Amino acid sequence: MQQFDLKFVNSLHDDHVATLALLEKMESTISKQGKGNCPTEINDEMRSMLNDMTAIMTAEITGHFAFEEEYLFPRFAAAADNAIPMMLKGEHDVIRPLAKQLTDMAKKAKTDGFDQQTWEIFYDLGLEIVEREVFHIQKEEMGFLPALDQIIDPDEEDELTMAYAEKKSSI
Amino acid sequence: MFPGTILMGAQSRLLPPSLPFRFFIAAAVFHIFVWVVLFLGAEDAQSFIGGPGLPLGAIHLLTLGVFVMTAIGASFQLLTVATGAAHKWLWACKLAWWLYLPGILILIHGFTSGDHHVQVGGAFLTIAALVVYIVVVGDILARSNSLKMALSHTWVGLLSLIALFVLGFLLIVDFEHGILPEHSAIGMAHLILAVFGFMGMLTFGFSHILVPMFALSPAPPEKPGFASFEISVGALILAVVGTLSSLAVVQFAAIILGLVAAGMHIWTMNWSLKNGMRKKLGLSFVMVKAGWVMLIVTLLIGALAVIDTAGDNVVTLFGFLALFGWLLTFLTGILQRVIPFLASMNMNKKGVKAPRLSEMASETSLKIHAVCHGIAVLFISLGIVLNQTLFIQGGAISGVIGSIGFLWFTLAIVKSYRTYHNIPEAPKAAPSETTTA
Repeated sequence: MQQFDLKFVNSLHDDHVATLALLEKMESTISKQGKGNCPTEINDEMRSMLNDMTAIMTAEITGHFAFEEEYLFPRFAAAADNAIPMMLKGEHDVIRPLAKQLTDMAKKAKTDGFDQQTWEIFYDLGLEIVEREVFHIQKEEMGFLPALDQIIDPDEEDELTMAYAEKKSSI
Repeated sequence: MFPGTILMGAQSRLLPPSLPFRFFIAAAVFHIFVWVVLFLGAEDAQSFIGGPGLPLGAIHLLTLGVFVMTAIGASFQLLTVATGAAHKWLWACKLAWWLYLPGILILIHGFTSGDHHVQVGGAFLTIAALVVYIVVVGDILARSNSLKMALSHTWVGLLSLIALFVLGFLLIVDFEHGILPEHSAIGMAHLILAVFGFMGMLTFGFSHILVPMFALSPAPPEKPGFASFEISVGALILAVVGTLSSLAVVQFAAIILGLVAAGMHIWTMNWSLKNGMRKKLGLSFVMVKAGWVMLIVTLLIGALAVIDTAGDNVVTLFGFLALFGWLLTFLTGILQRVIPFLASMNMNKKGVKAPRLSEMASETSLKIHAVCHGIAVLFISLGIVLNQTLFIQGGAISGVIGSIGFLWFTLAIVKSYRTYHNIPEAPKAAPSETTTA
């Protein structure tokens, strides 16, 4: 379903859809396992979640965040309001190290598995990132993306779509 | 497209947090007293259909203290952010508060004590506050051209509010001077305008903003949404006319239209939930959905009341289910999302990591509230049907416990907000050096 007029805004929205699906999957998988119950082996469900998480979180904090910060936040600040880009950038700065730590742990767990200590850290980080990312995406979907549709000059659409594709392919 | 560019420039249109929060905290406090006064007046509550006393006090603690209090706070904050029309007169919002709080305290004291002069004094202050509210909100609506669905509902809500406080004042005068030909019919019209006119329209309208926002869904289809709106306006008019004229056939038609409108509204809301990106919406949406179910149940009980086949207390049951089963359940469900969301929108400082929503308040308090609220609605409904004061008292005690849980949750959010703002801003902190409040 195309929600927005601009192609790259729809791509950002599609990223959000994929990220939210992952976050819900992650929340279910780790909550079902429980904090005190370290998985003795990486079963198919856990492996699938770890694989998806590594791919999607890496794309989120590199391509998606970088594109917004480099191309969109300055345009939004100039055209509308500086407070919103500042708030969203602040959230990127909180999410980025969490996501990096989580993906590093996921990559290691795929080969070595978890012990009780690493599992508890992974569990806490996982639930924290779910909450922070959901709230962050909620803010972007509620106002930032619809506003971009109004703010961005359609003449810039191709350039920005290209820039976003480049950011994503450089991951 | 999402329902409005809610965040675009939102930061600059967020009110000083103390303004909406004072209304929400007051509503959470009044919520406790609703159940306490209902417990004290349990003996008269099972067959209550009007007149001064503790049940009337309990009803107005709920309608004025919880519902309208919440509606004022939510309208002042939500409409300006969602429509993009900034408040012209912030002082008027504060004035509404300073008139409304003492006004309803005096009015409710008048209702429970039966003192006519106190009732009149309280009514004047309360109506003055509501006039200020109507002017402020009407001004925002008049300057907005987006969110037509929410705006249309809110306009009808405001018109209903005017009609209901005019009728309410006449009812107060009638207690002392006996000027009205049919006090009970006008009392019921007043209730219908309050529940289905003002609060019903506002909850339907604001749902078109809040439900898609929390579910992260596109705005629901406009056609069924507007059809639901038009049918609900028709149902409201028929219900008031049918009640004032005592024509059962008109009342019955109103209920049928009401059921159709409610069904279509619930369908559009479910469309949003189904098409939303966020599927896990937690306990708050369990309450919201329970509220929708109770709306349908309320209307079915209303139909039984009209055809007069379900015992003596069916009118009382209809009023109770409308107020406590539908509106209170729905409102507390939505509020438990809105309060932390609004607090966190105001927690944004450089170098200071905002707490997560789950860190701001424990969900245990909300679970206690949900369970106790469910028990309270069930027990009091049984108490009304079976004429059992003990059931009503038991339900009211459960309601008190649940409402304390809800206040505990609300105050925890406020505490978290204050703790966050007591941490000094760190101008150039690196992300790894951030602090959690």
